[in-house]
Amino acid sequence: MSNVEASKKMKSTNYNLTSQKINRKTEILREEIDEEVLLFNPKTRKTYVLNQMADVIWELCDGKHTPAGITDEIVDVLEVNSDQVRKDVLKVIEDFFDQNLVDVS
Amino acid sequence: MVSEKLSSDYKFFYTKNVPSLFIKVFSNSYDFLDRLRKLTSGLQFNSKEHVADVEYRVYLRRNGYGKHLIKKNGSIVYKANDRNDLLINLLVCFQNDFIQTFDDHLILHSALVIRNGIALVLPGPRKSGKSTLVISLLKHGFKYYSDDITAINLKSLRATGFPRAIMIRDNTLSLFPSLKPEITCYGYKLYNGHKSKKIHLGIPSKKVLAPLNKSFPISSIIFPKYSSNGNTFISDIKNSSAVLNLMGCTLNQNRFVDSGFKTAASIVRNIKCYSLQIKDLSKACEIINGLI
Repeated sequence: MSNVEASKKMKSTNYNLTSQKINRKTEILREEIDEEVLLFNPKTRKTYVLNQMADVIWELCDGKHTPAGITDEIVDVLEVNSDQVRKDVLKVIEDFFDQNLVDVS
Repeated sequence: MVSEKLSSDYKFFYTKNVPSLFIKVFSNSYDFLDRLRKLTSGLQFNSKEHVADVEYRVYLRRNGYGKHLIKKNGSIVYKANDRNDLLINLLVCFQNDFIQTFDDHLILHSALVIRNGIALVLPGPRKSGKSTLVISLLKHGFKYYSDDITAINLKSLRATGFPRAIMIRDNTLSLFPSLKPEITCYGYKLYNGHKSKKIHLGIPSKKVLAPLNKSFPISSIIFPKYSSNGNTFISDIKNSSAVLNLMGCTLNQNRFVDSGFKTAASIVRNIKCYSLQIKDLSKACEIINGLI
């Protein structure tokens, strides 16, 4: 499945969270400076700044977690409303797909 | 064939600890070499015993036929109808040689000044106010290294630069009652067909030149922005912005697989970065003095 197709599927309201595992693209570089996290794509030469939540989601895009799995991990640690976390996780992963930073495993 | 009777040796920052670049220039014109020497006064070293890294031959046309030429290592790299244009472009060639020479440095579009043995790096795009700020800092006790090119060693994070003549715009000249004694200014008219424009090159006096055979530890990186409106103030800059700005000013991005991303991040991690909005140059210099 291409990134564009995966992104479209992610945006569908009926999307099944238990389906695809999300993987960071190996060429994307990450640097942490104090409390800021930056990603850099050497192919596009674009740089991205992640907030704390986005960085946690990024780290969990390890090819072992689906969006639902990522949501569960975060909810376990933060003990927050899972619906809001699910929406945030989906939004961030959509953005990662749109920017060509992740793949589906 | 025009004979090459004359030569002049230029060696930039020769020392064991600092990258060196030895340029040899030949020309068929005393006048041209004389003007070149004037523009690079203080930047020349006596190094006849060394083999040149780069060799230029500058031919000025005779009797109005053909064009003036610059040859580099035997190949024509520039042609011009105007002698001043030729001179300026030869200096640009030197600058490009410098940029290409140093593998183990991040080369920035940045001014570099020194005070008390410590470097201040001032990166920024064209017309951000780097040269104007440099001139002002020289009048406030700083030493000159470069107004445009800074090289940061990737391991030591120490800085050197390309000590060229300062490019000064007309509106910059109007900001200073006089550039002397720190800087001697020469004006050159460049002709392009029927159009002409004047440029000014400022030669720092030896008293305000930093030791060019050394690299210096960096105290701060300040991104200047000159504006005729607003106030003069300095502010912390977000690490992410500093990294982006540094990468935007990196001239040798192609040397790095990651376009200098990790190096820029390492620099920002180790060296404090600021943004400086400038309206009042004197106040800006006071602020900068307070940082060192």
